[in-house]
Amino acid sequence: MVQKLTIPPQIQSILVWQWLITICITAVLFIVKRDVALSAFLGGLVCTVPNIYFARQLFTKRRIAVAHTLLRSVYVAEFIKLGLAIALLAIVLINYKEVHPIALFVTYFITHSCMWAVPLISHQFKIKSNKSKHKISKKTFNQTL
Amino acid sequence: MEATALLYIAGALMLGIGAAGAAVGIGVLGGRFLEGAARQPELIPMLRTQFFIVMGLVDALPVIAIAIGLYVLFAVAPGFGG
Repeated sequence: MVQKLTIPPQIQSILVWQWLITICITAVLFIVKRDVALSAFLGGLVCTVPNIYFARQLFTKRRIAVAHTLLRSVYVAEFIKLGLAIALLAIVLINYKEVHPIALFVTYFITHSCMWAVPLISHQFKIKSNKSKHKISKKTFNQTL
Repeated sequence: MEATALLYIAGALMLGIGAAGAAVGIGVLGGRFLEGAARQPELIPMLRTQFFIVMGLVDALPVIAIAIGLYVLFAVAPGFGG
């Protein structure tokens, strides 16, 4: 079965939040301390770009919707994502000698922690409860007894 | 032992142990995904979304360990990577 897939809104919101956090931290640091802002922006970029690549690979490609095929393509995409993150970090650390490591890694960590924070605070991730449905079925079950 | 050598050992340990932790976590996650998909194939789109999010959770700390390891190797330890 071949189907066209799109990035779900939950994942889109995570990616958008990652960009927003990166831009906000960069803007604040640009006002407070200009030479640190570029390091912070690069930290956010190193985190965001592999995530966008991974989401695109996972959700927007036309592929067979069989679990093991999907899992194989996810592992390939994850391998490339990790390689991309390591390559981008290495490029930044080798070529940008005046990098501010604390700004780079703190922005990287905060941007990465959107993966935990956005599902916690966003209403899009809440799973609808089936309590009322269970109550009815329990009541019906008791009546039948 | 020379301090630079200790830095290289620290960087290698960070990269190696981070990679091992990520491998175990992603392996377990993939196994559970296959199990869930085999039980209820109609839930694959929902499982894929949750898979992406949990993959991000599993990835986070190893990738940060890798980042700090690369920083130790490339920026702190002298004479490595130009």
